[in-house]
Amino acid sequence: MFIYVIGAVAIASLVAAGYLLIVDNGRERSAREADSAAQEIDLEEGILAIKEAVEQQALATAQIDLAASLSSASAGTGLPATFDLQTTDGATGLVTLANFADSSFLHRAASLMMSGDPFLSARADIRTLSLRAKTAQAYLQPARTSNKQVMENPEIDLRQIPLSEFTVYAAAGSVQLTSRTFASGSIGRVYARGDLQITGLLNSICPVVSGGQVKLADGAELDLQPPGTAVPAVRLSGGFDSGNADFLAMARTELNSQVITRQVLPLNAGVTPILYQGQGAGAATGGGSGGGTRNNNPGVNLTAFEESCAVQVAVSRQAGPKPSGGAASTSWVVNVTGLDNSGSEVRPGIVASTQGRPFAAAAHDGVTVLAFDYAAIGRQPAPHAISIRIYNGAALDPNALVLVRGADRLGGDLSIVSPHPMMISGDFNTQPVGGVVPAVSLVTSQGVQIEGSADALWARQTFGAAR
Amino acid sequence: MDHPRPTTAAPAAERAFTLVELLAALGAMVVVLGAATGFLLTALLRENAVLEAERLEAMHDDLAQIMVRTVKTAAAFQIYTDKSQYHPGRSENGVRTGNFLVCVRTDADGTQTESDFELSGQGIIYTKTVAAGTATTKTYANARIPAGSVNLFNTDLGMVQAAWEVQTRQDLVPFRVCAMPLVMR
Repeated sequence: MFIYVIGAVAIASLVAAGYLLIVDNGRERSAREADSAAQEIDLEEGILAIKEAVEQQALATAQIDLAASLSSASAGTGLPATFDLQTTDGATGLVTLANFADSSFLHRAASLMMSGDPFLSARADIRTLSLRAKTAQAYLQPARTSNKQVMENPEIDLRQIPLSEFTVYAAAGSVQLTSRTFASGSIGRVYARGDLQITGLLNSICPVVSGGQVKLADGAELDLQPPGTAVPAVRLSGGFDSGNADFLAMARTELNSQVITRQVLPLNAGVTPILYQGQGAGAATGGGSGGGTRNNNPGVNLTAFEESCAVQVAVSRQAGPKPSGGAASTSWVVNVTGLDNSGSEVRPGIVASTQGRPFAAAAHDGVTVLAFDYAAIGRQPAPHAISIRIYNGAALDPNALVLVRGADRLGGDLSIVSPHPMMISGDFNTQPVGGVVPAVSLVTSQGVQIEGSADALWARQTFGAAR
Repeated sequence: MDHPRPTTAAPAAERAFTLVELLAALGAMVVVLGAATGFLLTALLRENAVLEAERLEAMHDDLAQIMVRTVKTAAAFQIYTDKSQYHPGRSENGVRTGNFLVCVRTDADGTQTESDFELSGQGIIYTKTVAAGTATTKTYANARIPAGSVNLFNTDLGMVQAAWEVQTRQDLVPFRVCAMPLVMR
């Protein structure tokens, strides 16, 4: 009898021990899963910290120190993990971003075609940074069951989109777009870091992006039709306000990512301070007599743009000798550097409808007009960045205008930088080169007027560009 | 002279149950075995139901995990009323709530992966297509929309959300998925 009791107790003990082992394994497994989730969260925090560090450097200095980004992220999270950040070609040092869409841009650029992209269909120079993140072995908790070492390998895309890809790029403040400004009603690609107000009947094939709110005035309409879509476009009507409670649920579904605000997507796009000085930043120096103009328009740091231009045009208006009993005559001296065979025509009166030289200066109703005829450049390689300044004596001429014409067919990307207003005459950049329309940036703090459109109502912080 | 009277009792070796006794015993055995078999069958059926419920729950838990990961890694998504509203390869206007969710992800090597989730009848159909190649489809059965809801997916608060219930023979298991694509975070 005693033997039976001993046997029964032994069997019961084995059963109990087995049960306890199963329960203990379950507990270990649960702990391991929880630990793995905690590691994932920590790693994601580290990754986001690195992404933020990269963004801040790119926007502040147009340069990214990859090593510094890693150290700042590791210091921020305190996570026992290893991070490795490098470009796709293996560089781990300093990554420098360029100012302009230069002559090689078209070969490097990729079109952004992913639905939901705020800059859908824009051409961008994309630098991809590969990030390898994994938790350190020391971080793992001892356990019988094998622990997970969490690894994540995200990529950070640095996308540079030329200003020429935007019809309106407002780096600060609110923007009002009216149908008076756009003769055809097509507003193209618009980006405003502040609020965006729409008045009148307008349309676009690109998403409307605003760092603030998008509002339509009473009676306004905005049709948004992505290229290649067969379905009816998104139609926003008067009274639309992205600040309404329904907007967030509509943004990615009914509106199909055609209206993007900071609520929908973290918008970290921006012009670097090298190229843009915020409101109140004061005048840029180093431009000599040009400082006066920039004082009135502190948004655009023209000096930084102009320094990147290979072709420099300086026009000096000088008073000629005053004949007895008559008015003083006017003459101009046009200095062109960086462009061969680019002598200038100087005319006392109105600029002729045709010109034999790329640059011609003349007076018209008290306004100094510097006419730039692209077609007159001839067979020499097309310049891709031209700076134009017009002086009256020692100071910038406040009544000067840059007239661009003959630019129906461009030989390549073109950027024109000037502190003066620009006027486009005739067809402009309508013919593709090698199947692609060249990128054109018209950078001015005074507005761009395209012939046929009436009022240019862009804000002072707005970079006017035309395609 | 008395002769011994022959006895009517059979010898011990020839004793037997009467028919009544046999019938009673047989009846008792049927009752006992029937009860035991009933218990056994009930236990088996219950075990089967539990296993089925666990299998369904595990399947839908797996679906919920897939859904979260798919939405989190999506570069673009769209919700449609049903599958008929969606034209593959074309991103068109969607709706705030619907029964068909499309998520698109582009990997570093340019491979595009499309993941679809569709509420069809009593099941959720998950279809994954890599690089416009062969699609793999898996159906998660016994799903239904919770009381008070109309559709499987919605974008309340701007986040992709899904809610469904799994009716097993044991219980009703609710599933709630809420995720935001990484690019939106």
